[in-house]
Amino acid sequence: MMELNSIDPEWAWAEFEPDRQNLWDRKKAAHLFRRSAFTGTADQIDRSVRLGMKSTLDQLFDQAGNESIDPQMATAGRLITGGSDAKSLASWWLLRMLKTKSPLLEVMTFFWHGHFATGAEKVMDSRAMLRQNELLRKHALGEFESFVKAISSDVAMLVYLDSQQNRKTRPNENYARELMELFCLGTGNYTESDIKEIARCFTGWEIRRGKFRFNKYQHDTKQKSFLGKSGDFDGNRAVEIVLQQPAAAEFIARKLVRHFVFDNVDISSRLLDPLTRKLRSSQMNISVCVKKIMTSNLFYSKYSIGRKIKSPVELAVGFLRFLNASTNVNQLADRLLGLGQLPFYPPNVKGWPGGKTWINASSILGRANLLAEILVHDKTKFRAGSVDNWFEQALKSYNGSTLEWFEEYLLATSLADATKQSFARLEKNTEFGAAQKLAWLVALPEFQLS
Amino acid sequence: MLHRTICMLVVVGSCWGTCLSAFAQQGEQVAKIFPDSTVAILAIQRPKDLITEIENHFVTQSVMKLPEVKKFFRSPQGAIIKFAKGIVETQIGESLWDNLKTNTEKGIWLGFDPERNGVLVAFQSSDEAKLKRIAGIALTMVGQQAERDGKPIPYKKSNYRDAIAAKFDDFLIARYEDWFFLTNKPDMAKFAVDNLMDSSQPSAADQVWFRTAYDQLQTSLPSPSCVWGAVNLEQIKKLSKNDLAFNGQTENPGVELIFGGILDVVKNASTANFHLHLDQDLSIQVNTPFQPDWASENREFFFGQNLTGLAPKAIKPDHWIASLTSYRDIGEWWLAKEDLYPENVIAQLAQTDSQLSTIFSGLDFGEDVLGSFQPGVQIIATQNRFDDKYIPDLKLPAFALVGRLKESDSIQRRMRIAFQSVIGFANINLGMNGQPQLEVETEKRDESRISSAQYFYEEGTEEGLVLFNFSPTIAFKGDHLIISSTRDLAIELADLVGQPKTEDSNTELQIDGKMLHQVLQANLESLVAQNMLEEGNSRDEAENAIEILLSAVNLLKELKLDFDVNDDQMQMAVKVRFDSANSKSGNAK
Repeated sequence: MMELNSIDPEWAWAEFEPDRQNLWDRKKAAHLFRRSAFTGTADQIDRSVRLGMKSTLDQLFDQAGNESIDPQMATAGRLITGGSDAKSLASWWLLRMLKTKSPLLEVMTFFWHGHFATGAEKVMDSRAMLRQNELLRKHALGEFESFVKAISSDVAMLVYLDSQQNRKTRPNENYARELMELFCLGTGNYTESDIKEIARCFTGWEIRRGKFRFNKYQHDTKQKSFLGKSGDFDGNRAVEIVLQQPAAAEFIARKLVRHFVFDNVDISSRLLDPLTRKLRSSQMNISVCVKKIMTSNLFYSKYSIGRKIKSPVELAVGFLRFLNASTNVNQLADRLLGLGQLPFYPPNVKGWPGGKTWINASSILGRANLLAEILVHDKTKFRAGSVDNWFEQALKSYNGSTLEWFEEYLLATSLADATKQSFARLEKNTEFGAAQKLAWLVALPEFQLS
Repeated sequence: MLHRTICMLVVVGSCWGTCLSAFAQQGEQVAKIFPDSTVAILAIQRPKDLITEIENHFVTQSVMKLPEVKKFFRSPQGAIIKFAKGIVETQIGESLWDNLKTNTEKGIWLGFDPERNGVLVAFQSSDEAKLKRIAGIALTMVGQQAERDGKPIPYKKSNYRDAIAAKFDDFLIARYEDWFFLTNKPDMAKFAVDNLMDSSQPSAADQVWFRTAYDQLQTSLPSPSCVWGAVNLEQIKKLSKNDLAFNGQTENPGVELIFGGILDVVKNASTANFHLHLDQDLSIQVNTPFQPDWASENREFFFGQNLTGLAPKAIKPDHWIASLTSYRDIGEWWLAKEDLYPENVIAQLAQTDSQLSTIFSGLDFGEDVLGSFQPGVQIIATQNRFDDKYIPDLKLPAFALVGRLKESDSIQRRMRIAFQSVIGFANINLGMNGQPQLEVETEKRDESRISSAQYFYEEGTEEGLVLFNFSPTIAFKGDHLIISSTRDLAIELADLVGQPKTEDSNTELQIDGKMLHQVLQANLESLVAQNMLEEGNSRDEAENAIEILLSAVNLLKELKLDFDVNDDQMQMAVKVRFDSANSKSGNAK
């Protein structure tokens, strides 16, 4: 932490310029793909090395902006909501993560799903969950203000925060509280009185027959005073006032940095300041902020590379995308539930805590088993035909050993000498095939890092 | 990989579709190659004819035209098989098919012995020299492949009396004169050789169960080239003594209603046999011995008095897909439930009875409602039609149940009121979930009185909300009762029901392949979507997989299953008729 605080903020957020000492190489390209696209295939990483960082990022953002929904995906989503089974909806999203040509958009959508956490278990309406998912995707890289306004009237969110009926005689404070504490400002930047007043702004916002409705008869039209402003504000105006608070931009910047740069670190306001200013000056444009993060010196520094633990979804989806493979996503969803991260089922309104909480004695074994099962599962289909073919082709075009290949494309950190020696001994065994080699490698603690 | 492929081509390939086993000459004589503890024997009586039939059958040709099959033969695995086949054919100097026909000409047999946990596949060649040659070639090639792979030869040769065997890790192949054996238990091959040489040990051929099954088969085999099988039910029941089904019971009320009588037969019969015959159509018939006193009193609902229960004549409205029609007296079934099920199931049924009695305004659901049905019910499925404005994503077929009532006038009004109550409950639930609700209408059409409930969609109902075009309906005409998933189907059926007629059997299932194909085709989008989730397939892969399913269904013209009993046997016959016209396209799209 001390080390982080000593970083020059201007250097941290300045654009990374590769030079002879600090090349744009496979390790850095792989790092960018891991954080922005679940992972990159060896081809994508090699192409990125040729194109350079900026062009790679431009491509990722262009793909995110031009996503065309596969009609089959849309049909699948609709059919699943017909059965009201949100667990199938989780399978559907996993498949979308695996197949998408706009991986950055899915990464961002998943990030916002954790931020505006809404659990299907409580909402019990998979159609509403799907609509929220579409909303998250639509705003994932847009302007934060319109995003918050949209989520404030989202049916699934209102159900999750018990705001189906918000009457002027009994304003519901849940949403007002979470709007400031979890979504926009963070603790310490508002008072209990602000919560009560903002809750009044949202009175009359209710759900009727599965849809959002503004009931003017239940809206409190009297003056409200909060965060230094007074007036007859409604919910949308309340959102605008909340986001005008100096703390808002820093709160969002911090959350994005924690997600994309390093885990669970108390980041100082001083370090964040250039990023916060950028976010504020862009009218809270998320895309601008994310791009600045992913082009920054800090992002490609030792403070970021290998400083995050992959979430179960990142681990499994990233692995399958790297293999250019797909599998039975219903079973994958079951296994991810066991590892503590099933999309549409966050543990609570705070979302998944992430970081070191992903790893303990049993989960590390579970993660390794999951990847080993994926490799040998009869429903796992490799575009190369089989894992053996895939492995053979992958190594054929690489000028180096299996371990070097693995380190360059798949690992954020280097392997210890003892690990390398163990692998070398195992590799001599002719019965040790491609699936076994990969299973051994991805079970390593180093592979859990991003 | 290659050595296994070669072995499979020559050995398993010869057994080909190992579900089939065969009998060349007299089944009784050949059954002596199986130990007396064998519980199941399968035989292909004239493999050569059957192979030729399959080879030339339009279904086989259609399957070979499927893009996925062509793709497989272009894949590395397919190439290995083709390569190995080419090598073998060069060595034997004829096509593998022709060789297969000669080397299995006298029959193929398969037996399962639970005591040894062993399976023995045997076939007898009409040309001993050819058999010897191909077995030698196969072993040589396997050895050469192992050598190329730098691995030890994967089998060990040995002799037993006049037989020569090669033992692999988990199976053994052996040849004795014109006989060839494949087994997972070498002991079974030894037994076969011993009995072929000196007939010294008691075998399946001496067993009563086999002789009974075989005698029954003699009277029913449709052609000399068919496949047949016999099972020792008595022994299987001993081995599965804790299985409720073998003791004539089930915990599942639905299973009891459909298969209850068959459980009585299984409980009492000591043997069962089947035969399969393929020409342009495929016929399968399963028989067991039967005695009238095997039908227990509490299963009179299934068989009818004195085993005379016959299914009502199947009604086939426009766009008919399938029907299941059967003699079932559901009132009697309900009354007999306490003798049919274990305690826990009876308790659940009593609870259901109590809940449903509330809906029926105090009428006892079992005695008054189910008891008002006459024996004989049928379930009919037709292709659904949709309002142009609201076409659901999932285009489910329409279903209806048709039965007859004993005292129609007195029960009709109670049933209509119950229908309205059910719709009322459904509306409360739908309303709570923001779903469109159902509006009930009652109408009179000629001699029918129809109460139906239709979804009320407001203008601008969003896409995706209309999932099933469902308009639950209850209709009465004379003593006929129709409960249907759509009003249109109920109206059509009301027009078609008339004087009661019966089929010739107790239970009959019929499926129209063409209409089934149309339903699947209409749901192509949803099938593809489901496949993507379950198989992790891309859209193209999912479409290919569904195309195979559609192509297969497209070849089906009709499937018919009949179940009946008479004084000395129970018989279940399945007839699959293929549509050769559709085989020409070979493509479901």
